Amino acid sequence: MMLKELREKVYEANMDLPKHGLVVFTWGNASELDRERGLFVIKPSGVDYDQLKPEQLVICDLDGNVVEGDLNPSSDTPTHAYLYKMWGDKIGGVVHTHSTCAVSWAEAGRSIPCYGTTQADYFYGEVPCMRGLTAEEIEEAYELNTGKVIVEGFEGKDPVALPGCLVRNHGPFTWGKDAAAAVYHAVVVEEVAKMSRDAELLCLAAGKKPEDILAPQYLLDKHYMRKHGPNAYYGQK
Amino acid sequence: MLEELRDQVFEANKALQATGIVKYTWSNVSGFDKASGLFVITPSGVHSDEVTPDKLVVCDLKGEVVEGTMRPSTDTKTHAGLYAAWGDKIGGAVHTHSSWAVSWSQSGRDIPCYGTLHADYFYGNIPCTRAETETEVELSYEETAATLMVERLAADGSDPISMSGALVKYVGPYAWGKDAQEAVYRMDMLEEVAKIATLTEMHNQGVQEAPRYLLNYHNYRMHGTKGFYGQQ
Repeated sequence: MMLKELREKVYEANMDLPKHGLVVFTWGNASELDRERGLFVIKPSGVDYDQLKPEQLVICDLDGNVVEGDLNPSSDTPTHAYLYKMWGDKIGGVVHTHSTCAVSWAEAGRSIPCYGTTQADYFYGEVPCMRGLTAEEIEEAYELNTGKVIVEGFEGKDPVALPGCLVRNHGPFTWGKDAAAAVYHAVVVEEVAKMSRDAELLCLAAGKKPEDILAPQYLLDKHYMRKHGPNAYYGQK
Repeated sequence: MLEELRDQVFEANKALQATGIVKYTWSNVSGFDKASGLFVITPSGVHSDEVTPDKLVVCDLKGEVVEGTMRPSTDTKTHAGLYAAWGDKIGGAVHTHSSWAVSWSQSGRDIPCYGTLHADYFYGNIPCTRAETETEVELSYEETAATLMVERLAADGSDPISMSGALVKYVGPYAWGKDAQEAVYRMDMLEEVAKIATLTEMHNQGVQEAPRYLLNYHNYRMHGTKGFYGQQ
């Protein structure tokens, strides 16, 4: 069996999704890239988390073809494959969930504005919502085109500084240096989706406009840099 | 040094994680030793499962490390500022990014006192500070957060005993108490109160604050000289 260690890591990352309350039923998937081999490990499609075993995970190439595995890979596999193909030098893990608060922003077709430092610690700006897919794009190759729409929406944006997005009418996709980091960013997106929703409601209830509560750019700079900049002082050396 | 205080802060941090209001490492806890003027705080970016009493960091009131091999919380200077101002009244402080309280911080609003649960622990509206200016963020970000909370309580005529928490605009809640354990308890309360207040406004958009005489009664029976809540 190939990539035994990576299988274990991806298994743990997948199991963390229901643990963090991001996934009910089988509504999520996590994967991680082996950069040298140009292969990634992903959850099999429709397998319950409490039944999942590391050896059931599926190995795919960057065109989404199965290289090893008895089960079908996640139906979102071509999306993962395309993100690795385009951004494989920058990201090593991808996660997709249908976590409630993030999905409701995606369904509303709205990017999550940056109203505070919880978001600014991880996202250097808003969590962007991608454009919807056209009927032709859906018909032709839905999952692959989902990946293409994400990469298109990130033109001029850095997927390291913005480690996730919302796919319109669908839900959040997040990524990171490995599958565990992608899970972490999925938690961040769900948390900030909840906080931003309530911040807007409270702001509107007080007769203010949501634009008035956007965090100022200098605060975003400060928070992002103290965690990720060259002079970062968050965490241990 | 401060072995006993280290143990207290360690236990308080465990209790904070057990409340379920903290994700990952999005919190910090400290306890203050009045005699030495030093405080013990959780290290930066270390998961609570990996925190042990010896990994906690001892700092002075300027926020400088006095003992410890690890970096202290990035918010250490905020804790230092609270103890520098209120060290005669409080002995523990906590900061989290608990979601209900954070959304109030982000909306820039004080949490109105809509009921008696709030009044039992926070005597009045829980204040939200003003935003820091660009210069403040650049020169003294963490110190200024403390200054703004201290100034706001003073402007409200509140003291840190009857108002045991505040919101920092855009950031999130701080809570404090006589020791780290009490600060954790107050933070848990603050999150609950924030949640109830949000839902209250959803149920009734024209809702008014609870009458002052009700707050007075509740706060008095809990904390007044003839308080009768709890056991003697």
